[in-house]
Amino acid sequence: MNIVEVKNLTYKHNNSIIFNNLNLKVEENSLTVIAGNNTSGKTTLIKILSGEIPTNNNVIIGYTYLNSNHIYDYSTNIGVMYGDRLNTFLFEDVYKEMAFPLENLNVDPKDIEKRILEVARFFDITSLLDKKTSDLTNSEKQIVLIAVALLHRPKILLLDNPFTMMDIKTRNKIKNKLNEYREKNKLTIILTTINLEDSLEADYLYIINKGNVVIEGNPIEVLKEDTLIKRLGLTIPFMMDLSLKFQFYEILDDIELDMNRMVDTLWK
Amino acid sequence: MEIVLKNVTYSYKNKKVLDKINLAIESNKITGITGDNKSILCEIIDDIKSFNTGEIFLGDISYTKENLKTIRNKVAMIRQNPSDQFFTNNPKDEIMFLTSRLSYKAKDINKKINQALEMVGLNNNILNKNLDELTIGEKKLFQIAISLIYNPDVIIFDEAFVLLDRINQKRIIKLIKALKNKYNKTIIISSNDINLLYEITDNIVILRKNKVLLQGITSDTYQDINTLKDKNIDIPDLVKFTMLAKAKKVKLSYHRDILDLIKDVYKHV
Repeated sequence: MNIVEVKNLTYKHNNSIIFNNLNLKVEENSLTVIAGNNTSGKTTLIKILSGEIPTNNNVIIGYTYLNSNHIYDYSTNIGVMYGDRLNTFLFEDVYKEMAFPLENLNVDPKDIEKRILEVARFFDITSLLDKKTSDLTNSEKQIVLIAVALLHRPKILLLDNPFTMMDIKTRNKIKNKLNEYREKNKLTIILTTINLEDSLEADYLYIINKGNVVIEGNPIEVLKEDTLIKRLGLTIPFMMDLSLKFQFYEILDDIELDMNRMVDTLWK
Repeated sequence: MEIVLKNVTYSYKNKKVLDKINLAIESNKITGITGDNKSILCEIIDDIKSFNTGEIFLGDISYTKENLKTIRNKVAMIRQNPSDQFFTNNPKDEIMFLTSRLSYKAKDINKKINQALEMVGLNNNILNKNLDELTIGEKKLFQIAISLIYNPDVIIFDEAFVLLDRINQKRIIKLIKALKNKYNKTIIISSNDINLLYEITDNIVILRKNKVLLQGITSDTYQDINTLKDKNIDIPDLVKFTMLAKAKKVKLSYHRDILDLIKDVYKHV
């Protein structure tokens, strides 16, 4: 079942067209990645999907249209995180920052603490709970923001460039955690990024450019269009790039994303 | 200009964020800084954050209160999020605001602005736009142009490549190389993208917690496999590949460009 559908979305801002008849479908419980260069409109799309920018009956979530009449229902069903909003914390304390969205939804105070601890343990950030938000590193801020977006147990999580400040190890750890959480809780994740490394584990990948979908499908199949993707200003993930070039020179038969296995195949 | 840090300690709320940092940042080189607290180290080198103990020298100028103005004119920092750095909404106002404290004549300022825009490859019609109309790439280039008006010796790029797509990354990398080669600037780049740092830096500084874990020439540092493994350091993809091949007794060399690696692999399969 598609949990999100964008139908013929056209959106203009300051007389320039951001989206021109955009169509997208997101399968329930999937990880769907939307990638595009700096001018592709990814962040605007997340704002539209979260209801921050209102549109006219172009976005269907579940079975109903996303519009101002239903915005309260959606805010409970959608969690959103912007990876570059690192200086917009509302509170001094991490704990208060995490409690606020739940207080807003009138969650029982006892339940609030339980939920915060649960999510904090899951993401391995319990040590951050008694810190000040201003004392967090940028990478920690991004993890806290992801946790905050999940606290009210949304069905859909929207992540806009969520991992940009994390080093490789942290990035991989959080990606794994998110996937685990998604499977356990039947969560749907829509993730926008300029980094196609983030798309390798996705169920579905859209590449958008100038307000339209250019290529879509299984990430590995999409990434085979390396010439086009590079022309759009995106970087092909390292192992994909190597695989495609080795295939071209006929020294490798199949795409191999694991470096150890690739080296084993090349030099048996 | 060379920057030397001697036993620099920076504490925040009684916790040592940087502890006895000793560093030499070479003149006219590109130095990459990666790891924990790299942005704080950049702010200290930029002299907008003051350290608790230790000494820092820019050439033979010591980082003291009396020298603050001199240092600020010689060191520029390009912040990760351009919008954090802008005070106004108009490129012209922004320049006027930032240069008002310099003792340039109006005529000279216009000349310097045009020179700076030319250096970064921006058309001067950008001055008639609003800052929020600029793309993130243009904003970054404009930030760099503003800092060039001061003609600094050292330019620090904090989280240099975050949120930039490949097109903009390439523009910035090209510019960074030109600033070093053509204009003899000393460049510091903080980033968590070790693949990019490996590709473009001469020297590398790796921070862990509040200490310097490793510093050295980038290519040497990333070939010292035992140290990298011992200290559990993230390894650039290009290095990792050669490392794995070498473990299989394949005579592959270390490369900083994927095409060179592919050619080398082709010779050895």
